[in-house]
Amino acid sequence: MPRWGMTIDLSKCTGCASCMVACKVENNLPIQKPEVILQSRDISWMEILPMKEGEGFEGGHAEEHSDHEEPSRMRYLPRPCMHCDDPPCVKVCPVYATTLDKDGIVSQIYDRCIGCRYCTNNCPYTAKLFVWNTPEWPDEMMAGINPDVSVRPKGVVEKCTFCHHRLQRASEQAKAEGRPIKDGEFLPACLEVCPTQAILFGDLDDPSTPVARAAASPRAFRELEDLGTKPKVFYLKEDY
Amino acid sequence: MSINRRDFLAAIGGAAAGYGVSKIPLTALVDIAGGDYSSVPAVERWVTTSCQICPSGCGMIVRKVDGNPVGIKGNPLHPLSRGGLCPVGSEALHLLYSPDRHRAPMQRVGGTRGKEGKWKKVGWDAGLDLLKQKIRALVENGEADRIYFLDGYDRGMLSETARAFMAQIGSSNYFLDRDSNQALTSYRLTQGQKRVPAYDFDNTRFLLSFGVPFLEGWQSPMQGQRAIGTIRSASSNDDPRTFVHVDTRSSKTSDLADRFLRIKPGSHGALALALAYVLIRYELYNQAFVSEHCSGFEDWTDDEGVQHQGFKSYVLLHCRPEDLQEVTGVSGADVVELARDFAASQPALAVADGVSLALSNGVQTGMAVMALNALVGSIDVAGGVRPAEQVPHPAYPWAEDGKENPGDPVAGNGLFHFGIQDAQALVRTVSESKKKIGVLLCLHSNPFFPRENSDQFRDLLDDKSMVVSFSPYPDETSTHADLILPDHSFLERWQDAVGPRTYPYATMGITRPVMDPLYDTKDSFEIVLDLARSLAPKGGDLFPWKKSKDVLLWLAGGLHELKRGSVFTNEREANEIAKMEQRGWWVRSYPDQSDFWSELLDRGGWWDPGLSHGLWGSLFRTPSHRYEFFSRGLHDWLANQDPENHVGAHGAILLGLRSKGDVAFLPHFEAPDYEGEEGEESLLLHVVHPITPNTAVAASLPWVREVISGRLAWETWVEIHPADARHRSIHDQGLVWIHSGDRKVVARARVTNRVQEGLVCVPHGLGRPAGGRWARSRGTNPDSLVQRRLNPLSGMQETQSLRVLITTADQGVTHA
Repeated sequence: MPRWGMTIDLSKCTGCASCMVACKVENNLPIQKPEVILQSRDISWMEILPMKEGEGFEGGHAEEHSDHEEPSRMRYLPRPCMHCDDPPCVKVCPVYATTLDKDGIVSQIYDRCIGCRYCTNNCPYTAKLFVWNTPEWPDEMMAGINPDVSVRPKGVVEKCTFCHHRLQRASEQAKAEGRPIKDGEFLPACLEVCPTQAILFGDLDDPSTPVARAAASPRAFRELEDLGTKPKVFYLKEDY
Repeated sequence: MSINRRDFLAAIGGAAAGYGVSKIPLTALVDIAGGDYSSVPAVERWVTTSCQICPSGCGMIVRKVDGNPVGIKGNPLHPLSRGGLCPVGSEALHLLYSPDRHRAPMQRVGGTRGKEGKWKKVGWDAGLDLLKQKIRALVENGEADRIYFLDGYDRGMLSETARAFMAQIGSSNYFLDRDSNQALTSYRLTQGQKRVPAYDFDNTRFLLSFGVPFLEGWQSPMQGQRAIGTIRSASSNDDPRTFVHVDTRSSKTSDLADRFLRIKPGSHGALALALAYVLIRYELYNQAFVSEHCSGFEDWTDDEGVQHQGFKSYVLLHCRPEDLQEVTGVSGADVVELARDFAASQPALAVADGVSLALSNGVQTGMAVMALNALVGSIDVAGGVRPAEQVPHPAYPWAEDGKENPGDPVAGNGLFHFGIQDAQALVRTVSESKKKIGVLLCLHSNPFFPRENSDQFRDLLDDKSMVVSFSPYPDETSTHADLILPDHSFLERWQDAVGPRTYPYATMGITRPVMDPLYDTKDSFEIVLDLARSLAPKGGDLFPWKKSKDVLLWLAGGLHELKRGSVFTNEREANEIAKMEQRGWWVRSYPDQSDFWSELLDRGGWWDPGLSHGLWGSLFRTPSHRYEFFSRGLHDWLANQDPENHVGAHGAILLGLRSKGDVAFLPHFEAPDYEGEEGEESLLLHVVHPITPNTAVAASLPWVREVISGRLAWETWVEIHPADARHRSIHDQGLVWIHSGDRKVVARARVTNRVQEGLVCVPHGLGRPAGGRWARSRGTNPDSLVQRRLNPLSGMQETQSLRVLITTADQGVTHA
């Protein structure tokens, strides 16, 4: 059984946010009014997190009093769901709506979810997002909805699934042909548009795959590794 | 259409569904949402096409389910994009499904231009007849010069055809609506090329950027992304390459640079000259290249025995890094270090664009930066600068024998001679003709977007003028139009997608319809062909195609005959082809043209991976047939304009320069002229371009808007330094007014040390009075503040030269 994981090479990533938009298209994310963003109730499964070099994430700290001669330098971190091997969100879900699947994907079952938001609180990566508003599309846009991905109603929690629907299709194909899934047969949407090929995806347990090699490189690290969540998203640090 | 929990649970029937989606009857979910996926099993198809949103023309693969496009990914075989897409391209489906599209041709039957209009739908035949009658009447009256074509598409066969159509009906008024044209003038003055220079970023080892917004809204966002990504990832793989960014403000580009030098506004050229000083003084420059292929480096004597100053003595006398430290804010030691690194890492490439050139000294800055490339010999070598290869094509049916492609249409004699025929040139031409516009055809162009010249555009019209917009989307130009003949979205039409002007390889993607048109729209290429066939004398002979697909088949026929290039390939095949071509070999892969055509469609296009370098003899089209440090082209032109006093005071005034004598023709530095509010309280305004092309197209994409404005919810912001903010009692996130004369716009303050003191930065692209639901009335538009001064050489607006006042605004002020 493959253990699906991802690496994101921060020396290649330019923070362009194509992955963010491609994810929204693939996974039928709602078009949100800007007012929703002001309430911090916007939803992006993949997000580019800006942070100040040496200071961590930008949490809206004003710089009104910082007269540093040197301008602050920003870093950009693409943040999907980390699909932890020891996921803190799963431990607190009272209704088994979020579980660690056997192939390593942390799944989200919308029709079980009761919207208690324990998992959103417990996720240290803020990857879990509560649907505060009824998703809406203009009628003309409904023809462009991806039929493989359900739209989520208001009141549940959603997050990056590693484009799990694509795994299901690839598995069915492989099963029909009586073979295991090949490397590269199942790829998430964010990877498919990245202009600099910063994202790799595949079976972390197969040492021959590019993703496993990248995850084993000395440049690889994981976010908040000391929490023991064992994320399956590895970042490759910039080399200077 | 909205989905609620009750619908959701009803649709899945309370089933104990698995995670993810497709184990539960998701098609049912989409059905309740109004989609039409009831036919099971769904038929899936993938169609290769090319993006047409910006000039990059990236390769796309569209996923269709039961005939509806539902997803887009990059085409890994496209040589420029290699499977990538920018955020705008990733959201291209929303251009197809945009709820605000024009759905049929419409004629204005009342109302005022620019305000509420009364419209009626006309059929295509009737709409096109209206336009043809108007054009025919003008031509028959001998007033063909009152017909104007403003082409914002600006590439490929559509533009060539439009240009030829205008020439055939006897009007020379074909203009390009191009936003960034800054680099062209300095390229023309130093190397005689009438195109924008192209850059070989893949092979450069040291990229020195003077304000080029590689990761923001550069000419080709994809080429910028790929350039930076390539350099950074090569460095991580023991192939050290360096990217140095020089600019006035921190940006995403500066964040990702190996080194960022923050310099004072308007001093990019001074820094380039200080670097040139170090290269020359310590003999770090490529002496062989300079002596063999350059002129005007040493002092020289012309045919009449007059002594002229050369670049070397000018730089050594005036450009010591220590002396220019006051101007640039960069220390002499830093300059020496940078110059040494630049000279030591060959091939090295210096590029200027964006803010650095949109000032009164912009052309000279461009020349100074280009001089760095000449000094290290990075002209027409791998990893250097060179003109883009053009996609070969059979002779145009309208071409006169022996005439090569003329390059970009350049402005006529007189001022602005070294620029192109752009929207500003259109305004000048109409004003000088003393007649109002008869017909204005706006193709992928939005001249009425409120910027400093949009009022001028209104003044060029009278009641009898006919403004025609081909835009598929509502924009400011459609509100001013008399006739709207809406184009298909690019996912519904055939077109050639040539690579960007700054990309050195000849590349032609194929854009093909991925579905039948959703609405009663018409391919603008076919409209232009129809106009040309029916209005031009001998139109049927000169424009033999009826459909845009016919044009592509004609182009493909030419490429098939050619003994060069290939359908899109992966990188390994491309290397093999390039090596073979260098040795004079070529293998025909497709004996039959129909096989070639189907492979072309499958793979997405054609390109030629072989680039020949070092053809300096034909490259430099200057009077001296060399690279000109001392621009003899400019000197000779000025001598013709003003034979009496061409290098004296009058000459300098014509050129808009303070420098006199030989210096005026050399890359040199003079402080830029600013305009607007003066005094201690004033701040310099820079308008920065996030990744939003000027068309209404990207503005109508909600997710792109979200990505650009971050937490600021689609509002216009102004970046201001903490000290400047404190002095004016401005707080982070507070509303402020930006004043220029009697105009003012409101913006939200972003107090940050990422801008320097004395400078404020505002994004371009918001504040549209018209447009779709996601474009209209969001934010404010700094362009309405920018004054109208044009650079006398390039004709380009000096958009970064405005001084403004900033005051706090009441919270009650509505942002829109």
